[in-house]
Amino acid sequence: MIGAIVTLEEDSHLENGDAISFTPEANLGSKLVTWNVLGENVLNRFLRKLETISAKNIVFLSESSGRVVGNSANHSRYAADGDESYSSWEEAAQTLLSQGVQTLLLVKLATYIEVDLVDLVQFHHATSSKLTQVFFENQPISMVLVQASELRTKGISLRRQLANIIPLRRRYQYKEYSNPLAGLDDFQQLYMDAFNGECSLTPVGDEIAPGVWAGEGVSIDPLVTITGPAYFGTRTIINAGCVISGPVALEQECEIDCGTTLEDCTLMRNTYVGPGLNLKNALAGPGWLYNLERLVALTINDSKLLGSTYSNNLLSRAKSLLSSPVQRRMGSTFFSQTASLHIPSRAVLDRHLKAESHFKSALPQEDNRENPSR
Amino acid sequence: MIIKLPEHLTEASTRNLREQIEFTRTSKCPNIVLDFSEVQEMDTTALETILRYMDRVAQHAGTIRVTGMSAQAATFLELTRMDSVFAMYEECPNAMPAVAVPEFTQTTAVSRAEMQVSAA
Repeated sequence: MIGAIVTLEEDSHLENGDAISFTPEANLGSKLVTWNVLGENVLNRFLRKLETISAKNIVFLSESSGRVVGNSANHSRYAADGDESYSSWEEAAQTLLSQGVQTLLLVKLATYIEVDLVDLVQFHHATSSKLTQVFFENQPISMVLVQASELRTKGISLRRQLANIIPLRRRYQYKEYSNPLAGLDDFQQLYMDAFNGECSLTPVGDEIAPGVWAGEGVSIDPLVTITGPAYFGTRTIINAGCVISGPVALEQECEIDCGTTLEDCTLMRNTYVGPGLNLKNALAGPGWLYNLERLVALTINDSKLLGSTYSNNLLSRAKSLLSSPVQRRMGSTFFSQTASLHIPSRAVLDRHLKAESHFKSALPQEDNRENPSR
Repeated sequence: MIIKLPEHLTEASTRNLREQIEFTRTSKCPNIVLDFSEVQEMDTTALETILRYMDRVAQHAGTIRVTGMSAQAATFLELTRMDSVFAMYEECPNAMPAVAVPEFTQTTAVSRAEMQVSAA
């Protein structure tokens, strides 16, 4: 039985997996592994790889506090114990050992690596290794496979036992793709390498045209010009008159307003880009932008330029609720009232719904409108 | 007059900027150079103010030039498609703060040539 301890630097939030709270000044740490890349984050992709070696007991740890940070709905099936928290790495390892784990995979996930885990496990067993460490281009990677039997000596701390077998380690060399994800440039490079087929990272969605992928529920206006490669995440909306010149990647639930040009850029999920803008050579999220050419980050506190679609989703809902004969009758006046809402609360929506029913009652009957002479 | 724009060129700082430009505009020599070298953050209100005063100063036969465009400001202007507009007002690196409008320079050159011809 294989158990795994996946450690993330600092307080990366597994269920967040987005860049909404990101500011250019913030220390990225290993947060990038929880940001989506072409529809799925590096962490989830790694977790799916763990399935290939039938790893049953998996614990997530935050390096800074040594506590469990995971076990969200997406990852509960991987969790050893949903509500358990560990005060230290040793405690988590001890728990796995007590559950009868025979081989322990220890991973510090801060980079994107394409290690064949099945091959790694086979190598580990075939060489009867006590500890196998992964190496990429002769550089050690924070990924080791340990025989649990070597860690069961009583009276000696796990760290000490681990330190004792490190000199006996075997090196597992791999030559596939690796990306350090040390910053936003590396992150963007991962997108480019995925588009160019230099790594095995594949977009989540269907290829709707050569070099153009789209997730579920994507809405692209017929008056949009797209040059691939391009990726449109789930429920992304591209409005009329936009020009998309690839490589461009838009993660889930982005919205590009009318007439905006996107060129060589990547948008994090829930990013709203205002109308008539020109975004190029950039990595952007709600309220921030990193220019890959000038290597500068910019905070944009204007939701009409670069905002979050969270606030706009409710507005769209309100608009769709009001898309009735009332809207046609009231024309732009009514729409200008709705458009002025920034973050419509439930109360505001209710008010508009009441207004809608009021207008409906004030309107003549459907039959009368179609044929007034009747 | 050179106006060094603040690090955060946002709605809060536009009042001060407006006062500075207004003071220069009403002076005898309304030639203004806006120095963007320290700008780290910009917003649309500040952009609107600058564009409005570019227009007003031009109406009073003055000039506004921009210089020292920081990477952040350049990125913001590119995003809003205003980079091409500001490029027209870009100051030469070694030029003096006060720069004549192109039309004026052209007129002077012609009249000098005419004078030379008439002198000959």
